[in-house]
Amino acid sequence: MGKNMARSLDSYFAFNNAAMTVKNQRLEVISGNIANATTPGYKAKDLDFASLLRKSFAEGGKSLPITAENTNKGHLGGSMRPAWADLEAGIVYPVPFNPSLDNNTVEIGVEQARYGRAVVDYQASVQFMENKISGLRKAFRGE
Amino acid sequence: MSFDKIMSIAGSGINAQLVRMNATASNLANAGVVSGTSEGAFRAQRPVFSALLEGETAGGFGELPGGVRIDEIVDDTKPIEQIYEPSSPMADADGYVYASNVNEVEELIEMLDASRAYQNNVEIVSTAKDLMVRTLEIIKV
Repeated sequence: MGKNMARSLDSYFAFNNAAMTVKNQRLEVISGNIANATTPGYKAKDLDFASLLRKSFAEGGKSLPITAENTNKGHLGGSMRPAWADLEAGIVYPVPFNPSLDNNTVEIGVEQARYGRAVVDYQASVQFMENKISGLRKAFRGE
Repeated sequence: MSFDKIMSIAGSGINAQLVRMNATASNLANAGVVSGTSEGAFRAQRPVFSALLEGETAGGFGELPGGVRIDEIVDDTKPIEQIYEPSSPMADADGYVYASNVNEVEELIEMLDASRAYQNNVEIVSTAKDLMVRTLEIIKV
């Protein structure tokens, strides 16, 4: 009984786990761009959620965390490496609006805007997580 | 927590920009220095950065893909100006002194750019810190 409970909590939060991991990684990629804003020849990177998702579906979607259900009682849960965890697959190199003399493609204003957006996205994920937890709490209390 | 990594990456950026500002300060301080030989004249110092790739390490940051490191500090290649000034104690046999190739305006721009890039990295750290705190607060819900 206890094991089932833990497992269902796992899948209850699996989506949020995936979302927060990906969004955190995006923040990391963009902070790398800003740190390298003055590095000659550096190519700005971004983590493209759409291509990650496409890759996930291209692999049959079977490794998406939501569908990683155990079909047998003897299966060990939660050991799959889902497709979205291969974050390198989502790395893209955006084309700059204007070329620069030293071939650096970081445009600081663009990166700042991207970072701001990524922060808001991450905060949204945190908010969804909190909503889920408070929903769960309500269910526990039975009020 | 991978917020540590974001902070380390921004930290490597802060470090790099600080080296750049130091070089600029040194260049400005030595702008008026003259020398008796062309080789001995002060040349503006420029740090050259490179991005850290997977598996590469940089100083105190250890392995930090996505960060930045200082590759080398090179001399500016602008020509050295020869000035006829026989009264100078540094003058050579023909009465010439060799001025530094520092361009003050260029250095000031460089300093502004470095300081803005520094601020950008600081902003990343401060935002990452806020997000980290916000994430930890999930526990209080």
